[in-house]
Amino acid sequence: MITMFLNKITSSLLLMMLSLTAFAQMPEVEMADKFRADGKIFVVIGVFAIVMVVMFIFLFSLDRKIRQLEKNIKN
Amino acid sequence: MLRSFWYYSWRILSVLLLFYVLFFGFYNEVPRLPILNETIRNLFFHVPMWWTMMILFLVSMVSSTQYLITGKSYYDLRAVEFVNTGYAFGMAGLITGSLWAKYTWGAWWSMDPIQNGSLITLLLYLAYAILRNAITDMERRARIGAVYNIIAFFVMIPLIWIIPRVASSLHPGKGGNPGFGTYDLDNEMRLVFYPAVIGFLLLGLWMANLKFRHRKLVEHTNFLKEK
Amino acid sequence: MFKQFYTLLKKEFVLELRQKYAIGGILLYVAASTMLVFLSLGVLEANLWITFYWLLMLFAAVNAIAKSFTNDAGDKQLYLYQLANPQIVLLAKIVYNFLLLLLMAGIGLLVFIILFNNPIIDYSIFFTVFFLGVLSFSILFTVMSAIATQSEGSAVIMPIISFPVIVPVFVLLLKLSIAAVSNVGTLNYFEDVFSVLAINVAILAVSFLLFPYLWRD
Repeated sequence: MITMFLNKITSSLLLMMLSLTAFAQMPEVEMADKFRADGKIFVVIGVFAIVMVVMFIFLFSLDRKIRQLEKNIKN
Repeated sequence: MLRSFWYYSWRILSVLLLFYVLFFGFYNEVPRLPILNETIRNLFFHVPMWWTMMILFLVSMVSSTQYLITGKSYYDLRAVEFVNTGYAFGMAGLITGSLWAKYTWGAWWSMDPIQNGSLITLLLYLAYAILRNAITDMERRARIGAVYNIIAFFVMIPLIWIIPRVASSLHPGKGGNPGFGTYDLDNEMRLVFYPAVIGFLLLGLWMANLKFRHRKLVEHTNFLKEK
Repeated sequence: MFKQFYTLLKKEFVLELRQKYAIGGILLYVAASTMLVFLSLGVLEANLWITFYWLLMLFAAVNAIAKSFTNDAGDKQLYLYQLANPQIVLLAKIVYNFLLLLLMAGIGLLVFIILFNNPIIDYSIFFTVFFLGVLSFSILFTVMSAIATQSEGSAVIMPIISFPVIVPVFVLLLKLSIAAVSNVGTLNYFEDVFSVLAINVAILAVSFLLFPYLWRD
């Protein structure tokens, strides 16, 4: 995972340096590159993932409860 | 056992797709466009809200038609609960769109035809709820509601699809703006966007299905109580 | 089938002439609301003229058509309707409302032209839009009236369900009318006219199919 990530960093750095050659034509668009390069993007993903896990646990349990009730009614 | 498999398969698929979208939606590179910057990632979340709403409303319209044909309240309950769930997704789409607009187009609300059209759609289906509540007789409520639901769907189509086409709009792809297609949907954004649409759609169907079954159970217990 | 249609249409006219208050009331509504606008603004430039005209016509139309189905509760009427094809009933009401609205919008137009200057530049476009608008209002509101009268408090429900439904047509009407009062030229004229017609045809078709279900009582 980390080597994959480091690879991505070096390749994006190289690309950025390459893009500097075209600097005259292409305006620099600021993005959250540093954020992502620091690995902080994983914090964003992690927070969101926790929220989603909670939500899905809720949904699955609700689903199971309804299934139970339906089974009870059928009998 | 096999039934359990089919039952859970698409629900679990929805979960997996949404986690996939979450991870790669933020981790992937996206096209570097001025003004939008990173917010282009909203595409993965805002647009699927609307697609889900429309498909839920479509299912609801079909259910209303089935109700009118068969007269079984099963279909009417399904129509109502699918509208309710679709409405929630529509509100989510509207609010996320407005927030996105504030930071990219400059205002919470512009004279954008799609923004207006989607607001009117929400008003349209709110009127559906009000109409249903205003009718006291249960059978009439279902029948009249079904008729209105079908008409409302056919009014939604011009509101969201046709009017924005003939009027200039800030949304990408309409009016004078280059569509998103020229920039990003050619590349790896599609890899996250399509799963997002499917994932949220499955989620919406799951939620609507739960609400529907819950409603059936409620009606059933009421029925038993009256006996 | 034609005979049924003519009988029903005639019945609507006869009823209306008997209770003259309905037409009179609507015309008074148009006149009073126009006077309000005149007293508040005095002068209307072209775009505002169009907007106010269609807005006032919209409200007047909703009120005028709201009572389309309310006087059908009597026993004699029910008997008549049991004999008639429900779609013919709907068609008769739509045509009657169309003629009523033509009269109302026409008088409204005259009042507007008299009180405020006539901004119309291209008459052919404007009258096309005029007819399209009146047609759309009559179709859509008659159907909504059929739905609304089934509920309690139908006077309140009628505007609530009618306004969202008329919005797409209304937006197109305004766009077309503004083309008629300005020299901007008609970019998407035929497209817009076609769209309005398409919406009307679609709603009409759907309503014809669905009306028997409304009529079950």
